[in-house]
Amino acid sequence: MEIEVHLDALLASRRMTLTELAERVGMTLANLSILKTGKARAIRFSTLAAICRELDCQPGDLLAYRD
Amino acid sequence: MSSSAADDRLLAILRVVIWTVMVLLMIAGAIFAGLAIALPFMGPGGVEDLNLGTDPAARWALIAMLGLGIAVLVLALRFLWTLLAIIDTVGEGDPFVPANADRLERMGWLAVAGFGIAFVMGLLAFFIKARAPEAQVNVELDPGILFLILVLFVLARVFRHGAAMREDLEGTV
Repeated sequence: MEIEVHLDALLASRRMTLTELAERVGMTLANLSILKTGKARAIRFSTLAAICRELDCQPGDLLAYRD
Repeated sequence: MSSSAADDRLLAILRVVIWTVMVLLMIAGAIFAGLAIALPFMGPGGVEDLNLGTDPAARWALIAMLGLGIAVLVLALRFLWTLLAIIDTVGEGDPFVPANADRLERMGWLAVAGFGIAFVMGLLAFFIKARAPEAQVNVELDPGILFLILVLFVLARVFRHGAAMREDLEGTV
């Protein structure tokens, strides 16, 4: 059971780099990389909202639950 | 001066103070050891200088006190060495680790042991004074040490919770 993060696919479809997204949401590249590589253990709502705002998506587009 | 620079300066001063105290404790330990070794071989003249009277039990009690005094100094050195390790983690910006909770608990137990040994030294001083009233032996037990012991154990629990909370936050983006 795990939560999948589809950040790679969203960045590609929006033609945005991870560095650009990090700057726009006000996070360090290191922290955003932790999320992208699936190593994050938790995500703040404020982080989730900022990413959805910049990528123009819904939380369900970014995260998925896999059994 | 920025808060961070002031903190670094404070930590540096603390390290110097602790190292100075440790050196003084080692010197005191060497003096105690020398006296403990010399006492059995001291002639009547030397024993008189210490006002130990003629009762040999007073002399042996003093030797035992010196041995216990060395034990207290060793405990104090270990205490300060552990404190230095905690200060190092503060300098690294990462003090809320389980190792520091263990260190604080160890410091608490070292203080308990030191207090216990000092209590026995007090009994020996009382014994010596009964046999040689002029002897210059005094052991004062500071009740503040008991408060220190309590604070150390409480701090150990605080740091253990802090480390657990930090662990929870690890990997949160």
